Amino acid sequence: MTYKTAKLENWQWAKEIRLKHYKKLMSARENGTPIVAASGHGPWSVVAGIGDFAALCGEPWSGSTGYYPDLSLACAEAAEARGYGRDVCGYMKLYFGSMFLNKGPFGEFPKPDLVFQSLDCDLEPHWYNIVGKELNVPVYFVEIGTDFNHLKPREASIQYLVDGYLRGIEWLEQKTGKRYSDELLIQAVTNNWESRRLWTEVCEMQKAIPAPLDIKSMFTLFIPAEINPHEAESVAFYKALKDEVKHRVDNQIAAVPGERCRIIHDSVPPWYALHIFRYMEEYGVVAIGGSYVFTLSGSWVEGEDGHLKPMTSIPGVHIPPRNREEALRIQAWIDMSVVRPVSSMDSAIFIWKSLVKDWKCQGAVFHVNRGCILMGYGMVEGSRALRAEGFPTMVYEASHVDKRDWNESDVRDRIDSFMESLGLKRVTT
Amino acid sequence: MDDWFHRIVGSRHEHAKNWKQRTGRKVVGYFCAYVPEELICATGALPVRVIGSLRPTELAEAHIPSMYCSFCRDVLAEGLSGAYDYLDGVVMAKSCIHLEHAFECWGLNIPAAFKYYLPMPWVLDSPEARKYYLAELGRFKEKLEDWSGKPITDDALGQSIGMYNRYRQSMHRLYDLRKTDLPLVSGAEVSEIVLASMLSDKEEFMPHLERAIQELPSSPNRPKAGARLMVAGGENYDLELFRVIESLGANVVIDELCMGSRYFWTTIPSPVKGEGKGEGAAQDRLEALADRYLCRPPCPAKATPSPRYEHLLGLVKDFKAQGVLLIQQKFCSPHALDIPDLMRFLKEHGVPSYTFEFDITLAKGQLRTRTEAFLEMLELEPV
Repeated sequence: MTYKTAKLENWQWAKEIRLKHYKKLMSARENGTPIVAASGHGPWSVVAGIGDFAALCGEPWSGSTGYYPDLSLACAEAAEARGYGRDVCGYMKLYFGSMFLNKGPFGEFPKPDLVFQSLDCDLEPHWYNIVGKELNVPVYFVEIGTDFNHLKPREASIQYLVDGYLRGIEWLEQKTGKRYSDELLIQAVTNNWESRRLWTEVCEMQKAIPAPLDIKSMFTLFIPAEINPHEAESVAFYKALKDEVKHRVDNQIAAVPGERCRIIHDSVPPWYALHIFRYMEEYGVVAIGGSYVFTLSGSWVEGEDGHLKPMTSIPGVHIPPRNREEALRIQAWIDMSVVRPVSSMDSAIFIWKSLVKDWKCQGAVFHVNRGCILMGYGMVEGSRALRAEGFPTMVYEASHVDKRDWNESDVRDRIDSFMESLGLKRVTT
Repeated sequence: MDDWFHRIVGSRHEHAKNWKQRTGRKVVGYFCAYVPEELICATGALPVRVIGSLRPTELAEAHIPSMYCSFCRDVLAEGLSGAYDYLDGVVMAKSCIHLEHAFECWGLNIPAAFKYYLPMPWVLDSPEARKYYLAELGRFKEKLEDWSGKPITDDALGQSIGMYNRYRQSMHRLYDLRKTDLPLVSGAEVSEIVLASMLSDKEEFMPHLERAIQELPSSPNRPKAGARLMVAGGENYDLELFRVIESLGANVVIDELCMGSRYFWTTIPSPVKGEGKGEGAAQDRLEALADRYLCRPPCPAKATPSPRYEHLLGLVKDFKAQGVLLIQQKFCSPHALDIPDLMRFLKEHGVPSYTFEFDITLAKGQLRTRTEAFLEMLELEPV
């Protein structure tokens, strides 16, 4: 059976939001706009209280760098020449290389004025301490990753984050010399909540057969909620995207017309080799998503029925928030939801099992990413757990940004074998 | 040297099992030196550091991705082998993602009556971190009380803190034996004592330690003159490392290791805050514990690197080390990220350093060659 398909109408909008983001970043210095550095899923809504700023999002910057093989190799080698070995975080290494060489995918490295980082990985303190030292800029940290089971965050951990943000606001005022606006904070947090809520609903619609989106497209579509979640345009974009995806579901418009098998793919993909998803499509396989693409820009909870559900409310908190404390509490819950799949093996395995079963998949592909230990957390146990329940899995080793770790023929061989185990033959060549 | 330490290290499982049988008390394995042992000890249980066996880790390969560090694989393999089946519980304090992974795999695959994860801040120096950690210590205390079936009394916790303080103070005296121009004890001997202290009952350990401090300076096998080195890095429980280095004529006069000085370095301030009586004493004790674990020399998994560098440099000066050998477990990302900056810092202060990456099994030939090269760099020919 072949389904009908159609190009995504909102595809170009996602690209434009990203382009606008980088244009603002790259012209920030001449426009007098402060540049703030943090992770892709950094606490941008909290920073927004100081007024206009440009965000230098660490992982997306490196992901874009990794798209250009010559540039990424030069950056990796520059970092390695300074002693940062091949086994450290791949994104961090490209970021360092870009900083040391003062060049990146869009021009010179945009030197930040300050770092305001929420920590969810034990390498991030190093990352931003080194940035702070190298560029002589002030650094502020709050901590997300202290709790164990992020599916059920405890009040103490939420309050720890809120306390950190409250002090961070004073720090932001002091470092920027600007008066902090709670009104801007509340608007940014509301937008953030909405962007993520809408993206979560889009992911939820991936349960439909045929899948309205494929993971390769989702890697582009989830970016606004990663780098600009606090802006009104992102909310508008996700509203439009949600409507479009609903239309596709209602009319059985497929991402992969020949869909006959569904899988999840997890960890950050090898950005330079996204064609592997097209290769799997030749077998009629659609990758409907994974915890990376679903949770980095979405917020989920374990429902009372034991299934993975969109997070629609926060205990004891009014949405939209009415004051600084409520806004920071929502931000803390959002922060926790980002790291849920990677901060507890139980929650990671629960999410993988839920995605495979509830999204009607037949198997899972895991990228054991040498460049990101965090996203590989529990992956082998997750693979074991799925196999124990009769779902075939495939594991391949590579790096998301370092092409030197890529072995095309090996990965294709593995895909071929995996497809055979699923009883699939290539339908196109 | 007292053979007791050697026996503990060589047969740690048998020792713990015998202790359990002899005392009728429980044994708790802890995964990280940030676990406040004082609280476990106050329940009457024996806290022992969970380590591997330095053998191939094929049992762990089916559970841990390849880019996780060799230490966490060794630890898990040892657990999966059944060698730790006498443990009544396991505890982890948040540190690095590698060890957390091993701890979680342990929880999934190895039965444990008590499994506890203690949230421990990465940011050590903020007011909210202290408040948070203090509350977490209180929660840990309650969980231990539930598990052990009896309250941790103020007296029991006070005595435990007091004993650990005495232990730490004596360990400082042991370390001071290497401050002299000609060290009075070798690095290999000291490292074995530290390791034994992590694997045994501190009450039973202390008389042996005191005797060692008395007897070692007059031992006929005292170190000979040689280059004075510091060894710094993460977890190391392969004592061959020190033996190989010292066989080349160098003396390891100080370390900055997880299973070395970082384990015991910071004593709870004297007069011991946690030894008071009466109203507020319990809270005082927890605050004393919080301050000790937040202020001890930080591990590179923490978010505040500067105190580690300054502390390390202070040790180099105090112990007159001529160079620093920086060791790193394969794939240990916190140390891999710390080393380049630390080397630059040491260079700025005129301290030469050299790196050595090692796996579960020690490549002795490579270590020998690299140490010789380092010693040559120090312009000191191997003796």
